[in-house]
Amino acid sequence: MIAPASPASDSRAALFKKLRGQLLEAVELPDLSAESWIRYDDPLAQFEEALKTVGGVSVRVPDAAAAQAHLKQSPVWSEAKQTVSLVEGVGETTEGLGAVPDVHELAGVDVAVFGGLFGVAENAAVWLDFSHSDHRGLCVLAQHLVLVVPASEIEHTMHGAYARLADADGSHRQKFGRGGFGMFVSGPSKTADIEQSLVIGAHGARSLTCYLLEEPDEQGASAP
Amino acid sequence: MTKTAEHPDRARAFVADDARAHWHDESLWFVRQKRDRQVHSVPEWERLRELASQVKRHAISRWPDYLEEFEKNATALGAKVHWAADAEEHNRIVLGILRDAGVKKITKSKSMLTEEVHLNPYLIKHGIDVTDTDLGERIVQLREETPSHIVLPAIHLKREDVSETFHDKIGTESGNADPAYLTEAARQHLREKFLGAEASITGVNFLVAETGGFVVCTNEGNADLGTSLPRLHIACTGIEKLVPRAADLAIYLRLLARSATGQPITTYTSHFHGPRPGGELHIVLVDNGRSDLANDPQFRDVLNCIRCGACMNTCPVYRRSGGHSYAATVPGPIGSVLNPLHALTPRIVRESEQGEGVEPREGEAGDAHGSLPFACSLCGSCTDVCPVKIPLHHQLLALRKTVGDRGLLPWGKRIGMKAAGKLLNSPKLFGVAGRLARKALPVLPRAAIYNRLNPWGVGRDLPPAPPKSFKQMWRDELKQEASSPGDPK
Repeated sequence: MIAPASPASDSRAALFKKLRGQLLEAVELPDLSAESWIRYDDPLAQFEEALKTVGGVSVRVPDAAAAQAHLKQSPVWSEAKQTVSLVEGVGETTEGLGAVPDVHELAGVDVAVFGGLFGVAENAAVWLDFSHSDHRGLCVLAQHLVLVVPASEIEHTMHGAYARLADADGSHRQKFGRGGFGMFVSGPSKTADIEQSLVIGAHGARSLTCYLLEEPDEQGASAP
Repeated sequence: MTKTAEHPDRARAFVADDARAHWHDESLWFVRQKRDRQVHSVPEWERLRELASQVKRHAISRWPDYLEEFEKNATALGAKVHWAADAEEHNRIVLGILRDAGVKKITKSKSMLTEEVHLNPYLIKHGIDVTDTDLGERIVQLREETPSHIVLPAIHLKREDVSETFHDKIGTESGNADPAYLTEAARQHLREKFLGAEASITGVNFLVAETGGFVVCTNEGNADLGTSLPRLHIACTGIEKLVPRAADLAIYLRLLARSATGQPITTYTSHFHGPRPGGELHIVLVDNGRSDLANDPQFRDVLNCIRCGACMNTCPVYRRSGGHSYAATVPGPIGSVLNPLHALTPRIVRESEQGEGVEPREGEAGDAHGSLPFACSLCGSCTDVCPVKIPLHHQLLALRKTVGDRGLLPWGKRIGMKAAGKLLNSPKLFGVAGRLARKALPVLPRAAIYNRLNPWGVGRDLPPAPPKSFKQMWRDELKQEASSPGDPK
């Protein structure tokens, strides 16, 4: 790339000239595939335990229909005026909110339902992939968050999580390199900025419920 | 040389309020204990620290290659990458982007870099309405203060302080200091700001060379609310935040929140790869003195820092003197290394090029943060908890020498050190001084010892002088043993 002549490109050129002029001793990049990490006897139970400690709630259910039945009984759902669901068979989308042109119009959503690809046992993080949609604002705008994750898809650690997100060659050039947005979510939004006292519901979701589907069907609980 | 306030001078006001200083100490120790519990749940913790250090040192050893790789990949994803040599250029670039887009109102999520370069006052001066959205940062912004901690910006404040500020500025009930009530009020107040913002600025936790993406970690969700509403996102970052591969993120994400606040991971860990559909993404990469730090093998590892704040939470001096006593964006042990280094390195670099005896440039000597390496008991706790293995207390010790060599010590300490050097160099002189002290100390009036020439004696008493020196005791012991051989003890 030929940068246009401007003060900005001067700074770039000067920086690279300086860095290229520095002779630093070589440090090898470690091969992470050779490492062994903690493995839990029961990763699903560990995930549930971790989710509890970060302020979330997990519910094991056989399938999407059972998740739906449980959700409909919950006070969060019965008090909700506007909802959006991106998971077939769990929750539903209030009329008119399915295809809003501007995410600002989703500011009043009470409950949003997302499918998580997998969870992580050590920290209760769930990976949400938004590479094909622009609903990422919804998972922080909604007052309450509901996640649906297959119970079989629990990685032990973050290393397993990134292995899941990798391309066939183990790098992340293809999938991440195509662009888009993805996030790990672990529990509801929180802060302890006032005297270190924990308050749930800082800017994002005030609660997070994670349905763990023991026998997910083909369509439910995959990508959002 | 201009005389600036030293760390002990600035800490004085903080320690004067004894109850509050203790409360501050205990709050941070509580965070340290939460960290310990998390650390003990990870059997491979030490291995992770080792790897985290090695990956960062590798990245710095091939710094220009990875920066180029990042730029190429980020550009391919549709982001615009900008390069800033210093604070002034960074701020000019950000203002330029906002002006080009006709933006007047922005939200910001936490970024120590934008604190370092004083972006807020610059933008406000140029007519931009800037709202900090991290709760702690919003509190200090409303109070027109600076953060006193890099992860817990308002850790120096009590709930009553926040209550008063919110009552004045956002109209909460007078006297209601319930954290849940105050947080809810801030949520409502900041929702309006989020929805009305025309652009958002975030910091960056990790830049990934392999993919051209970057990761931002928050607990509140403010970075995500900020960036998902307006179409313009500006990410501001130091050039050292690089990791080579996305797989390396696993190491740092396992270490970061556990070290910072004792959580297994932050609530939101967002991976940005290119602008969102129809949006615009700018990434401003800032040097501001970082590139010089790679040159010195003794201090190079400070570039490993992932800004977790663990060294502050554990530091006995930080906990008892408060973050503002450091008068720096990054306080605590890491700040006590970074700030003097930033102030002195340009001069040291010139010396290495032009030889000794380089005259300090304006501002270089007077504001060198020379007292910070001395705000340290060398207990080494910071080094023990650092997740990326920066040898902090060794660096602090080394910096004391650097500061001393450059004549930046206060007069009292300079003379005292010189005298102590003489005394400790001569066994004879040392022996005489010891004999004199043992005789004199018990009989001298208090004022002769505890006066303003002895700042050490403020709040501290010498132990009673022993009747004999160690040398004498040792000699007597040997004599006794010689006189009673074979005595089974």
